[in-house]
Amino acid sequence: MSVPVLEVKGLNATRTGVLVLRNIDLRVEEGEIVALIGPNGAGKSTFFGSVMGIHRITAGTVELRGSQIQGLKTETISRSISLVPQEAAAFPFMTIAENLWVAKGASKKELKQDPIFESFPVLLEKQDQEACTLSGGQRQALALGIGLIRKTELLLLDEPLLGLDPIMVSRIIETIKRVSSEYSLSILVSEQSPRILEIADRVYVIEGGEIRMTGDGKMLREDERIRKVYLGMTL
Amino acid sequence: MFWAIILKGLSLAGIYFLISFGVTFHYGVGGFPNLAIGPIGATGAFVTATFIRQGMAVPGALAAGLGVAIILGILIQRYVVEPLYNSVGGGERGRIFVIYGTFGLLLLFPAILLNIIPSTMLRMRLPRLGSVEIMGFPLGAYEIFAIVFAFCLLLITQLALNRTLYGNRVRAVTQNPLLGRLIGIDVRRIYLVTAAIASVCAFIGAVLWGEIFNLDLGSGVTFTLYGFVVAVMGGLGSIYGSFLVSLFLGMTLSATSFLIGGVFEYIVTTLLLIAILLIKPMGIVPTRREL
Repeated sequence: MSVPVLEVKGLNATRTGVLVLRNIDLRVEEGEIVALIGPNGAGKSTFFGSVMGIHRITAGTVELRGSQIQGLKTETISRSISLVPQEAAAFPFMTIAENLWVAKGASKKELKQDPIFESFPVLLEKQDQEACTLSGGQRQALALGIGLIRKTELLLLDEPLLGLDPIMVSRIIETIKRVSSEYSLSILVSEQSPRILEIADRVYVIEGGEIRMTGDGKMLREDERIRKVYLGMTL
Repeated sequence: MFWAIILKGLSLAGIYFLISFGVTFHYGVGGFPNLAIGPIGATGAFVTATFIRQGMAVPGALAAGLGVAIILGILIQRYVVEPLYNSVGGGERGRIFVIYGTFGLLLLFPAILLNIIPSTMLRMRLPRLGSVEIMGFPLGAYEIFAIVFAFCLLLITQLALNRTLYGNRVRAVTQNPLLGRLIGIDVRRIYLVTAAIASVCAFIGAVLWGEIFNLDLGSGVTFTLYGFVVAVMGGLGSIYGSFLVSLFLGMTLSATSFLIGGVFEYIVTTLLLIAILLIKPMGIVPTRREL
């Protein structure tokens, strides 16, 4: 069996001194889309922050392809893992082109040739527009673009469907699936919306800072209890 | 008379811009209102003036003063500003803590200087470079340097911030430091580089001030005060705004001095600056730092 892209074992983490995550075990295999679902305040964003070295890990290990990364600086971890945060996922007063240039960290010529503009034509079309003037869907496309353009081994998406209308939700879900295969990328996505189960290979259910359940996407999609207890709605 | 007002106004504007640049740049990038910037520049200038007095060659004395200013700027950023800002989780509370801490340094610096530097008032005594007559008005070489350097500084920072990758990274960190870290930017290093650049500009401003006027123990406090007046009027963090206000300040001081006498120059200037704040409370060029 191959080494997982990300493997978290027995993780405890604090946020502003308060213990938020307890004994988290989670794994992302090569090319998988893994969903971390749970209600508001379950600890999803804290988990991502802990993996990225923003929040303090008090116990357990985080391994990227078998190498421990806990304790490394965020700037170092971000060479291998991209996190698209839930809010403020772009530089608001810079144009789309400047946002992508800064994220890619290469010459402008290399930026122009990047396949990101084929994956998201809207980024090419609006490249001279400031990020703060974009619509919700365009902003999400830019956030994904910033996450993808650095070609890391793992992409973490923190609630990418939050605040989007149903049409945009469908588009973003389709986009996540598409970029996963286009970029041969492993993706860990946190969500409250059950719609994410449509594309997830495996799912972890988190509540109160602990993993309550895990299983494959199909199994959880059909589990009445998950829908009622953890997602609070029907699929 | 007209050209005299313009040229004198430009040279004053150049000095005010150099002094305020440190404050503006430091606040613009890191959001840190560092009140110690004036004393940092003044201390460097004091070191230079003292060494020149003791017979050291001018380039060596300038290098020593510059080194002191840069080291002080970096140390204060690393061991005072950052810990104070982070102690309360950053944000507005963090900025208030930085103001308190650096205000303490602002008061402390003259006392420390008094114990180290033997003289309380120094003239820079840079080599005499003469003056140039422009439209019948003689302008000293260092006054010309202040004008030219200020324009170059504005031009270079605008070009660097907008055209280079590093400059765009600096802008990115200004707008969203967390995302900056998430895309691999060493945010702390950018803050330290910013502190060093701010200190260099404060030092150059202080040296020119010391050459054209005089340096005394309170000069650092004066530089911070002028720096903040210009920076606030311009729109805190806006380099272009600081430049415009420096021009306005220089021209007003010069015109008042020539037309109605030096006694009134600060009264008229203060009244005009209050008027600007009443009309544009966020400054001439308000900055947009956050979403």
